[in-house]
Amino acid sequence: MNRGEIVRAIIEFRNDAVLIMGPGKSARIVWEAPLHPATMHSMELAYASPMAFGVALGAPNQRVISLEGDGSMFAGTQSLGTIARYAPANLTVIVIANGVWGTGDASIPVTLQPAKYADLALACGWEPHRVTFATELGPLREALRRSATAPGPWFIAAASVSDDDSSVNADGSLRPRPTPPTDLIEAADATRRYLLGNRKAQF
Amino acid sequence: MSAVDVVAVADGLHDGLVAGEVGHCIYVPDLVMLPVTSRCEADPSIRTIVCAREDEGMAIAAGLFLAGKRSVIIMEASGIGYSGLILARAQMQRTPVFIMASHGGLLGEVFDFHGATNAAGRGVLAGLNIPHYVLRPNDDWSDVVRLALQTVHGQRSSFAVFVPPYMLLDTERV
Repeated sequence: MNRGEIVRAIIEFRNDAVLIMGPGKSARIVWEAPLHPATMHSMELAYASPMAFGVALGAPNQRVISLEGDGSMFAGTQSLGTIARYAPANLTVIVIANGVWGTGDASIPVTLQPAKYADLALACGWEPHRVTFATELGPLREALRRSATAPGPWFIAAASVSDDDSSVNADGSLRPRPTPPTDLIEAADATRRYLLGNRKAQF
Repeated sequence: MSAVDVVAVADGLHDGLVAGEVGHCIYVPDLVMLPVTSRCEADPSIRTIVCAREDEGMAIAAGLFLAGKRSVIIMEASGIGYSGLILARAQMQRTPVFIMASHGGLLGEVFDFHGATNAAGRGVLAGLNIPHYVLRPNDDWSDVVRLALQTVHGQRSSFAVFVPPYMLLDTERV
């Protein structure tokens, strides 16, 4: 799988879920789809999952998704333990694991290999049946479908090839860096208004 | 004997949280703040969440604000030092957090090993222009908390109340 395939599958099964994304290129793919108002991007390293956890606690009838890269997840490993202890049924944590820190020249490996993120979640106290490590689209889609329809929390680690299709065209040429459709303030405000019941909040 | 009625202070701080309609207390365990967190643990109107890092707790509190909930995050002031980046994000996107932190007030600090705690906690707040208040013996402790929460939600700005150790610990333990 590549990042684009993984993110598009997440969007397919997102429905009405709040989505909080960590730093990195995944947001660029999200922006290519029609914008859901409760979409926050570029959360600082290690904070997407705890902020999503806070939303999940405060809005227990609202599905919430945290989307992290493996570098961001590794930087905030302890949040997996906190989430496991309180186990909010409406939260899904998704890690796109390509094995490298996705900045600089993207050549420096993250300490954990992709397959180990499921082990990390288990070590932090997640129940085994709530943890998926997917290397193919079929199992990933099945895990996403389950997370959208059954009480969680869910942890999904999706292995991605290290090169992704978010910044390079099919012919190898670089795509222009997209501009976020909302700035950080707009995104937070729209998410809050969405959560407080004003679902017409749009930008 | 302490010059401060530490039980009354702890009761007052908890009463202020209740008056301020706080429904969630996120904390990293701390000896000084234990009388407050234990009162929150015993209060069925407040859900407690114990986290592993203070900056993690700040992000949780910001998430609760997004969902329209009032919360407090309780810690030692050293934890504010860890939290510069997430506090900056919370300020920027106007999802503020209310902090109650031990130490940080400078008066009555007995041990040099709390020097970094004070410097980091105060420094981060100053750098981000986040207002703070140092609790004093003659304050109406409940009202300080209630009014601080008014500021958080009225101004949509984070706010910290520093609790010097002598306010909550018997002198022998400070």
